Amino acid sequence: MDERRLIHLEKLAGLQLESDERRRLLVDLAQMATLVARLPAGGGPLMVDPVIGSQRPAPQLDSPDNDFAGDLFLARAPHHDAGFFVVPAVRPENETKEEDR
Amino acid sequence: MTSWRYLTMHAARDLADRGELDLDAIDRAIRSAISGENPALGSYTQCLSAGAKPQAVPGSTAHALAGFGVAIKANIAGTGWRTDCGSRILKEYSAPYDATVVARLRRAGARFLGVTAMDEFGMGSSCEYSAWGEVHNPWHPDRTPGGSSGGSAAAVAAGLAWYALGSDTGGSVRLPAHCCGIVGLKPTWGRVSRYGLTAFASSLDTIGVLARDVKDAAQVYSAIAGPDPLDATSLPVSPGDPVAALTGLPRRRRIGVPRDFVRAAATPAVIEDLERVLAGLSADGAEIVSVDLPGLEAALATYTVISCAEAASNLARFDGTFYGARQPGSHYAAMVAETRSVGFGPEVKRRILLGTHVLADGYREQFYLRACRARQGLVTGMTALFRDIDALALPTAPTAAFALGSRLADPIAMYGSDVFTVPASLAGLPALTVPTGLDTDGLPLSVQLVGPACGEDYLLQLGAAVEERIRFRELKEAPWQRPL
Repeated sequence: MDERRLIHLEKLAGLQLESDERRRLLVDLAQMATLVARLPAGGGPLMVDPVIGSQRPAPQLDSPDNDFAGDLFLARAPHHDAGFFVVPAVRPENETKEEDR
Repeated sequence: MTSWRYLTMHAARDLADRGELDLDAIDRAIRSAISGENPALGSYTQCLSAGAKPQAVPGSTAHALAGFGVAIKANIAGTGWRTDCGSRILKEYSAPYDATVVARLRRAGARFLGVTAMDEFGMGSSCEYSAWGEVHNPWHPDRTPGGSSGGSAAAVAAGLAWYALGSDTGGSVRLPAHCCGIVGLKPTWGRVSRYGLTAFASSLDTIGVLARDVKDAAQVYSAIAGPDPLDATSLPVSPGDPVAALTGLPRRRRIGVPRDFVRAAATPAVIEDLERVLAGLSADGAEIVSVDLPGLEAALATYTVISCAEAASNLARFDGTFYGARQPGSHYAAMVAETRSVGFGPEVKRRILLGTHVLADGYREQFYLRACRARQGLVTGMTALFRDIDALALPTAPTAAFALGSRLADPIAMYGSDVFTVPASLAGLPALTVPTGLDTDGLPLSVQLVGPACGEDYLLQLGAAVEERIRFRELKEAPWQRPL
């Protein structure tokens, strides 16, 4: 990342850095880029099962038709049986519905 | 005998029920101790008076937490204090409502002692990135208490709170628990309502518990967990009765250990301590198996990208319009830039800029989407792993509490503190930190137990078994063994 790119990011993020602050951040961000470079390559799925509830397809992050992160977040919410995290599918027998209110 | 200020809540309750302990008098003494000792420790940024709001609800004395004082992390909203998140930008913000966890503690009859210091917006591993100064470790004043819930952990370890609430995005409850030699519980994502928690990275944020032992942690967890109509992402599963589940050893005990991953990052003292704990579990009948989980090595990079991306989005609201201490500017954009540049500290700016970068056009596929895929790979791997094992055991951190100031110039070394805690965060799984021993400098070490989704009861039961075998609280080096 160079200084021009950082100034562009500042504008996007609603920040304005002092020049010495910017110099320090460039060093830090270069280090962070080294860390981020350890991300594995490859094209695995974004979700385990891209189906919510019945048969409605879940929004895909990389779909040009759907760029709304909120949909993705809802798709991942554990309320859905095909969401991001794996949770018990059935309510324990000794649990009442009282607490759902 | 342990001083009254360092008793566990369940032990104090037994004494109070027998008429041998006056909880009201102890509450007054703890508030007095906070006034005297907090200036040197720095764990509290706001002290609440006993008579002011919040008050316990009449008739709630039957609850196990009734009458005990709690410390609240500064990113959890409540009427009666400022929810400043350790940031200048929210220095005057007071929420007009209670977070669900606060409302539940209020109903249980908890007494609110104060608001604790934290790394700004939860971004940090040492409690040095607070706008209000650093926090010192009660075991050694030159060491970090861990972060970001370092103020909460230090208060509990120093006998200035019976227990505390913290938040854990990538290890911010577990790491301070490790550094301060106490118990830290990060529940399954969605198990404890996030309503009233200032968002850092929404898909990772959880509210967790810091307590003196596993039973106290279980009591607090059972009071705050459960479905909440105010949080659409809360799980429709009640916490059950984790305290009742603490009796005896768990029936199934097949414990997985990612030994290669641990050896690559931890110091010899940490590895030795973990092996000692595992040998104890094995002697008690547990089966210890080495496991290999692809993706663990990339978890820190994955976490960094996802958490920074979500932080850049979540913190966009602090622009001086609705939220944030407004700074003057010649026009709207100048006002926003000035407000955010003056209000946010260097670490928050760093993460916002990195998050903006990984979400920007032309970079999203390369960073953010790759991180999302890596995360999904880890979730899939973890899910498969927990079909074969009952819990995962690994250290909480690669080292004991490091020296204050030693990692400020090296953000990557600072982020490395979270290498063992971020996998459970990315997978949304529950994790429990239990103190287990001391390193050669006499600083606490711990084991982190990770369970399957909604496996808190099992983790607490296993953690209690570790605690019972090691008896860490009886170590003579601990701060709670020093004379008052």
